[in-house]
Formats: sequence, C-alpha cells, structure tokens
Amino acid sequence: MTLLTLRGITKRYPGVTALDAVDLDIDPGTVHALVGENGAGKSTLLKIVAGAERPDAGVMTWKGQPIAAPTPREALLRGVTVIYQELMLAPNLSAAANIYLGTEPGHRGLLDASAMRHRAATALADLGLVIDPDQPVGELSVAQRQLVELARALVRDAQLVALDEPTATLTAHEVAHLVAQIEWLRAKGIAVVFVSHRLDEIRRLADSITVLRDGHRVWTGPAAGIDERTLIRTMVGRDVVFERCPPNRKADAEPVLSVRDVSRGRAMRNVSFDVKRGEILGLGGLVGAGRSEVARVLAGIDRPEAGSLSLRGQPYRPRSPADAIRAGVVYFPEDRKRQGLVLGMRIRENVTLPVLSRVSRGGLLQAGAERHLAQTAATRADVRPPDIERLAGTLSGGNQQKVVLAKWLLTDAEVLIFDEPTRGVDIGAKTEIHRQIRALADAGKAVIVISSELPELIALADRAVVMREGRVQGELAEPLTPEAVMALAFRSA
Amino acid sequence: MIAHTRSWITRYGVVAALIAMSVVATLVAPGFFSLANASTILLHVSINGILTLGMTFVIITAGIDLSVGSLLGLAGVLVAGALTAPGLIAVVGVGGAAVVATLIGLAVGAAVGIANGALTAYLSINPFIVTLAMMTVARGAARLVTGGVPIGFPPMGDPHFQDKVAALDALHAFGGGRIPIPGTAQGFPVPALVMLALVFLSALILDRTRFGRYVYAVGGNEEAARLSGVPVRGVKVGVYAIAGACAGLAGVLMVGQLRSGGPDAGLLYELNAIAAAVIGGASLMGGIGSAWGALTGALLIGVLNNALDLMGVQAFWQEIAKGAIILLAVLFDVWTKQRNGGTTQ
Amino acid sequence: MTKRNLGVSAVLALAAFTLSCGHKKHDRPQVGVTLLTEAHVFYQNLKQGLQQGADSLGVDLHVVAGEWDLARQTSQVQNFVTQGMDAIVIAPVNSSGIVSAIEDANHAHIPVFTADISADGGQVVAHVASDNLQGGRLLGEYVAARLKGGGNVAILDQPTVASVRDRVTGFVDALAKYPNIRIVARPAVERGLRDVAKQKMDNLLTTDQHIDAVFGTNDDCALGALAAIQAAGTKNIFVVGYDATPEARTEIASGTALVADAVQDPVTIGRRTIETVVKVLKGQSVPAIIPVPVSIVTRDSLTLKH
Repeated sequence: MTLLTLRGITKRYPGVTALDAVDLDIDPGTVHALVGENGAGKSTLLKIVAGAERPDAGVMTWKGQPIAAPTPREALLRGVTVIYQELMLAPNLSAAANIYLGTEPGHRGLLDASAMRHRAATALADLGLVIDPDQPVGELSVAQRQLVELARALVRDAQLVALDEPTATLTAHEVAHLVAQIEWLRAKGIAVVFVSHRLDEIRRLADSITVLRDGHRVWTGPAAGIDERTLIRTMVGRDVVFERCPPNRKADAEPVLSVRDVSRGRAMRNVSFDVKRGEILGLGGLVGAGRSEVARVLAGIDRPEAGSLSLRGQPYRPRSPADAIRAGVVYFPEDRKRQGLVLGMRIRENVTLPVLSRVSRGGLLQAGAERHLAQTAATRADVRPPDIERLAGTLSGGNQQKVVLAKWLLTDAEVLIFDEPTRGVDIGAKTEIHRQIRALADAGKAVIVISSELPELIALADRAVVMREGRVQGELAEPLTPEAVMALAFRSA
Repeated sequence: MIAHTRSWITRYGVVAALIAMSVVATLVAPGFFSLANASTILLHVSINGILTLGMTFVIITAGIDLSVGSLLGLAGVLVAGALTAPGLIAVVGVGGAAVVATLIGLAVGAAVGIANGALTAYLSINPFIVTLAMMTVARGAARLVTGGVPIGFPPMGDPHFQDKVAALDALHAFGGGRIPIPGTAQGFPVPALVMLALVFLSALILDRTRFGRYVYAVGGNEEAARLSGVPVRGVKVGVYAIAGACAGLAGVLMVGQLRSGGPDAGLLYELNAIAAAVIGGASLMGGIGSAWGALTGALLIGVLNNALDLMGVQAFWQEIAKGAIILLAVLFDVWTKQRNGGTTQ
Repeated sequence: MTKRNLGVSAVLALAAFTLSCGHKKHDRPQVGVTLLTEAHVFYQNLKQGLQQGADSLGVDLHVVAGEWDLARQTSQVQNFVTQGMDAIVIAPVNSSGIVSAIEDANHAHIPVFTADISADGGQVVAHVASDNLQGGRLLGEYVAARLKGGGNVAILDQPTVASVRDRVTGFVDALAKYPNIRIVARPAVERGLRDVAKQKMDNLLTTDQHIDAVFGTNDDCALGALAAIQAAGTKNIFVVGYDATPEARTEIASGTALVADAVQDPVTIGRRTIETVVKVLKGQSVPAIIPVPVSIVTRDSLTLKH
C-alpha cells in the first residue's frame, strides 16, 4: 500500500506560487528522488511532507487515511522525519541527548540516562558511526551530524525519512557511506525521499524520480527509464543550458595579478596561478577544495601564511577588504545574504557603500549625486524594477545578486572575483549575470569565477585552474571540457 | 524621507503616543500645559536625552553600552574636582577652569568610550561584558577619587572659598543657565538647548555622513559591511567614543546644574537610556534607530514622569508605568513587524 | 569530565581554606562589620567611630560594605560566620531582607548587633542608632516655629529606607499639633539622588500648590530642593535637611534657603556600638536599644562655632 499520497498540493507565498497542484506517491522500502532547479519547489514540498507548512489546496493521505491537520509534531508521531540542510541539532548537547530530544525516556520526570546512552549508541552503530554518545554534537563533522539525525529517525521508528540535499557538503568518501546507509534504510522497509543536484548519485540510488519545475510536477517515473541528458532537459525545460562561447576578446600578455606559492593552513597549500586583463579564469574543484579560501586571501579578508601576491607587477599585501578595494580587487561573496548585502538597507545604500567617498563633499553625503550613481549602477546591472529606494531584503534572489553586482561595478575594480555568482538564482537572472561577467572581461577586466556548477564554469571560463584539497591540480585551456575538469578535481592522490 | 527608521506606523506611533500622553496630562495634571513646565520637562529630559543619543549610535551597530551611567558619575566627579582645584583656577582663572573642566569631562568620557570600543572591536569581546566591566570600574573609580564624598561647595573657612564658589557658578551658567525668552519668567534651559543641538548634529551625522551610513551598515550586516570596505572596527570605536563623550557631557551638565559632583550620580541611568532608545524605535538587533527617535523616546519617559509627579502619583506606580510603556513599545514593534509580513527579516 | 573534577577540587580547596581560617585563634576579639555602603559620608564617619572604639578597647575590626546589595551583604555575614568572628555588626541594606543572614549567625551562636538601621527579625543583641524619631520631631518643631504655626509643607521622602521612615514619622508627629500646617506633597526620591530630588522639586514648584517649607530627608534631597528653588528664583520658601554634610553646612552658613539640618552623630554611634559589643563579650547585659541623640544645626549655631 502506498505510504504517503499527495494530490493537487498547492502552496502560495506572497507574489509566487511555490507549488501548483503537485501529486506525489511514496511507497515503503523505496527511494524517491526529488529533482529540479533552485526555486522549483523541492524544499517547499519537503516542508509540507514534514507538516512545517500547510498547503493552500490539495489532499494528503497516510496509509490511505486522509491527514486532517498536519503539524510538525503530528508528522513526527506518524513516523515522518525530515533532515534539512541546516541540521536541527543542539550543538552543546550530547549525541544521545540530541537523538532523544523531545522523546526522552524516563519515569517520574527523571531522565533514564543509561537507557538513552545505550540505545543511542546502538542506533549510531547500526548506521556505522562509532562515537561516544556523550560527545557534544558540535564536535562532530557535518557527515557525522547527519548520521546523528538519521539515528534520531531510527529510534523514533520513522517510516519515512526525507533528506534535503544531504550530500551537498560531503566528501566523496562520506557520500559513499551515506548512500550505503540509505540503502540499508530501504532494505528495512523505510521510505526515503531525497533532494539532490548530483545526477549521478540520483541515478545510482533512486528507484523513482519526480522532476519539479517552477512549482509544477513535470515528470515522474522509474529512475532506470531516463538518461542524464533527458533528465536535465526535463528539469530545465530546454535542451542545453549553457553554451560555451568562444571569447571574442584578447587577453593581455602579462598577468595583472599573480599568486605564488600561497599557503594558509590546510585549506590552501602552495597555490600559484596568474590572471590577465581581458580573460575569465575559472577556479574549478569540489566544494571544500580551497577555492573560496584563495578568493578570501585575494580580497584581503584572510592573510596568507606563506607565499606572495603581486598586482600590476607590484607586491600586493591587502590588510583588509578596504585595502583590496582601494587596490582594485573586489570579491563577490558566495553567500549574498550573509556577506553580500545589508538586507535592512535600501538598494541605493547597499550599492554606494564602498564608494561613499565619491559622493561626499566636506564630510556630507550629496544626496543627488548618490542617487545618480546608484541609479546608473542599478540600471547597468539590470536590477528589476530599477527602484533604488527598495529595501534589499524585499528583492528576489536574482535581483539581490544583481545589486551586489551593481555595487562592485561602481568600484571600477580591475580584478573581480565571483564566488558562486548564480547560486540560488533563477535561470533568467543567471543568463543576465553571465552576460555581465562576459562584458566585464570584454571591457578588459580580469575576472575570476568560482563555480561548483560544472556547466557554468565551462560556459564562462577562458581558462581554468582546478583545485583539490587545497592544492592546484592543474591548469586547463582550450579545449575546456567537463571531463577534463572532473578528472583533475577527482584525481586520487 | 528619513531612512533606517522602521515603517511609518512605528515611527509616528511613538510620536502619536507622546501627543496622546500630553493631551491626557493636560486634562488631568494641574500645571502641565504651560511654557514653563514644557521647559522644565526639556531640562529634566536633557541628561537622559543626551545619554540616549549616544546609546542610539551604539545600539544601531547592534552593540550596547552599560557603562554610560557610571561614566557620567566618573566624569562628574573629575569635572567637579578640576573645577574646585585651586591650582587650576590660579593658572587659567575661574572661567578658564570651567572650560578646562568641561573638556576634561568630555575627554574622560570619550577615552573610556574608545577603550570600550577597542576592546569590543579588536578583541571581539561581547560589548555587554566589556561595558558591564567598565560600568563597575568607572563607578569604583568615581568613589575612589572622591572617597565617597560629593565634590561641591567648599566648607566654610576653605582658603579658596571664593574662587571655588565662583568656578562652580561659572559652570552653573552652562548646566543650570537659562536663555531669556521674552514674555516668560524663566527662559529656556541651556542643557535642553545642548540636547536639541546634539539631536540635530546626530541626525546630520546619521543621515548625511559617510560615518553615519557605515554605522547602519555595521549594525545591519557586519560581514557584508566589512567585505564592502567599511572600516568596521573604526566605526565601532567611533560609536562607543560618541556614547562615552555623551556621558561625559551629561556629567558636565549635571555638575553645572547641581554645583556638585557625586560619586553615585547617574546610578542605573544606562537603563533609562536603553529604555528611551528602544521606545524611540532603535532595534537591539542593530541596523535600525534614529536621533529623532532617541529624542522622542526620552521625551516620552520625561513627560510620563512629569505628569505623574504633577498628579502626585506615588513613585512605585511611576516605575510600573514606565516599565509598562517599554513593554508596550516593544509589543507594538513586534506587531507592526508581523503586519508587514516580516519584510525586515 | 575533567572540567567537573577541576570544579569540585576547586570548591574543596576553597572550603579547606575557609575552614582553616575559621579555626585560627586570635587573642583579641574579632568583630566583623558590614555597612550599608562606604560611599557615603555618614557611613565613613560611622566607620571612623567604630575604629576609634576598637582601637581603644583592643578589638580587631573587619569592615566590609554591602553597597546597597542585599545578596552581597548576606554573603558577607555568612563569610563572617565561616570565619568564626566573635561578634558581627550589621548596618543592614534592607531591614527585613537581612533577617535570614542574622539567623545564620544566631545558629552559629555569634552575637549580632545592628548599627544605624535596625533589623525586622532574628536575635539581635542590641541596636545602636540615632534617635531618628527624635531628630524628625526636632526638625518638625523648628519648621513649625519658623512658620509661626501656619503654612504648607512638602517632604522629599524615601519610603523604602527604614531610618527615613522614622525621621518622617517624628516630623509629621511634631507638625500634627499645628492644625494650620498642612503637608501638601510627599514625592519619593529614587535612591535619594540629588538630581532626582531637584527634578521632584522642580515639578512641585510647577504645580499651583503654594509651598512654604520643604523637608529633605537626607542632604542630597535637601540640596537638590535647594538647587531647584534657586533655579526658579522662588522666595519665601525654606528647606530643612538631615545629616549636616559639609556641603549642607556651607549652604546653611551662607544664608541660603537651606536653613537647618538635623545632625546625627555617626562617630558616636560607631564608638557606642563597639563599647556595647565589648560589654556583651565580657558577659555584661546591655539594653536592646541604645539611642544616640540627634541635634540640630542652624545658621546661628554654625556661625557661633566659627
């Protein structure tokens, strides 16, 4: 019998329909993958399954019985556990305490600590994790914490476990272990729903796949019946996302920025490369390979422990982001909400923040000059609508990213470093941001792009430096192919 | 448009509450509605108003300064000490002593503020802890330098009696002086004038200068501000220096007004300043607040105290009323945020 | 685990340390004193009197202060108990709140004395204090005489302070004999601070109520009232205060609106307290309440002295 059935589930947020009449069937002892681009509605669907969000329309049934009023607690008692990307654990509590959080065994108000410890240890061992159940969760790695959440599902006798992008931040070895655990859960008859962007993993693990696009379910079927190319086309709605554009520009002969033997802790070791005016250099590799660390050193956020940097032939030692900006090096951070924008400030105020000195006279800001500057930048970066008095926090992801772009366009920097420039933005904004990045290189800027999306890297970069575990593995020029990048990124030591 | 305040309903909500309270007070409190009482309220609000302005700068950066009350006390006893130091009067004269004492008050306040800011910004210690420690240190220092005795009018038979009294009177012209207004008996109190001037200056700094913009950026998102080239540490040191200097100035004004600097002066005044800043719309989460809000918040508390005094309401009820107003201000804030669908996240 | 062990051993070490202190034997009587505060002239003089008495009678004093913090004063008394003091003298932060600390000392059979401010319970051998009722009465008589039996009076009160309550009771009792004298306002001054007193007085002067005389229940209240009166330029109003601090004496002597002050004798209170402690330690009996008289200073009495 089908464990969970969703029929015509619709969820609207102000200004956007996140889910539009979505159907879903989950059977016990199967693995069901949810795929789709960012904003397709996968996370919303998981929240509805978890009872954290209530659908505006539609019917949910559990083992054939309709679910009247789903709440997180009700879903938990029914046997549903959802493991979100941001893990829901209390870092200061022990693994055992976390596993039993909210369902502590005991009598007359006293915790049965030894039973808790014993059963928690058993559940962890079942998942192949041998740790002291008294260890605070904050001391565990992300992969270990994930297993603690899975153990929590086990002691609650969960019948459905849903995971939101569980493998996004794991190493290859950790992914393999997690995959084995998911297979074990399936063998125990537990239904698993998981969201992932890694198509290889999906095809290896999933029994069936549901593809979401813009809140619609566009395809459901057995995983065996679809190849990767078709899957991508179904997700994106057209054949190929990014075409590699051959650059119609000429890079300088001499590098503008040189990195020589730069090291910092274990994250980056003896990193060397050059970047020239008029080219886009791709920094490839897996998450955690040390690419962002390189960017942070170049942007003056972190200091290198060894090695040297030079800019326009002169030694370059930025002591702060302000130093780097003055020198003409700007960093487009990967987390725009945390690092890129002041969400409570207006677009105008965000955009002019690094260049306020240009619009102040005698210590006072010149309101007219500032508005003009901000308006020019916002228009150039294609912020929509181009209303510079809106609060940054009220914009969509793509528009927020464009505001960050507008901010850095104003600085007239010579070297621009983009860290995951299109993470979490829709396809339209993505195309626009790509156009802007190419235009910058065409205008003679030196551009460095870090992207975990291989197609994006291939489409944008003229040349790529691939990193793995803090070291440069190699440099690739034409022909730049996904296979070549992946070979370097994964090459075993 | 003044940026960085909350939605208009919150901003004008406090002003509306102030007006409503004044109307009620006019009806029920004898003697409330008069020019003389208005200037008295402004005088009483001036010390807390000045502390609140400094506190608002700090709160906008998502910081807190618990040391301002003690700092007022410390600055006050040093000001009174300098003012009545015979050596100083001998060198710079009575008026000169008043000026030097004022500068000492400002300098001590700013210096301790810079220490607060530096410890917070460069050693990344939580400002709550830094300023809590400084609060205790400053109060202890004030008691230490005075031996616990207020410094003020010299005892009879003091060899420099005339000079000391003259110096205290000179500062009294600043802290207790009044600008004559035609048609009124009392005139406008100088401290209130100082406070209003500071409100204008603070509004100018916050809305129209690069530093002001940086203050909001640091409070709104410290990391993003730093990556945008904002000198975050310098900004933090700056706001604590401003809060300290405000406390120092408040100390100067209080000594001027009372002709005495007591070691216990300003006890717990930091809490009144925080309350006024929050009532005036500043968010302890940072990024939000304004100079006019600070004035409104301080006035609201001042009008409440004055009206309840004029009505002869018992002190304990006054405390309860003040607490209730703070809670209402915060509840109102939460309510408007929910109504706006959490756009400020 | 190790952290917890460290904590336990630290506590044990501390306990051992305090125990060893407690068992130390002295030849001279050891007397623990906790004052309300040391940041006040009155208590500084009280301390001086205690010290004088202790020096002349051969007693070792250990003086600390609660600084308006009941919890702190309570732990100070408990420390004295642990240290095995021969007697404990308390000037309580809070008359009722200090009772449990006194009971702790009672359990350890250490005699407890209160100075200046009394306690509401526990076994206190003797209470040595100014006769605040008498002081208030004295000021009341003075005000009545100066008003020639008729006028409006305001009191800047501190209703949470027990000694002030006595002063006010005495003052009100004395005035009750004069039907034409009315007490028209009694605002409370938070923490007895001078700027708060000035604000209260400013507001009193704003109301229509005509006021002829003001009783400031301590000198900060009186001097705050004086500052308000001077700022307003009001004539025909006078202030009486309590404590006669140097600042207040100066104002009285220079002929301002502050005309009289009740003067307590904290030095004598201190000396009398130690004398009482020594008597009790020698096994003599003492009265439960030992009043120290309060006098009054006026411009005449001050200028006569000079």
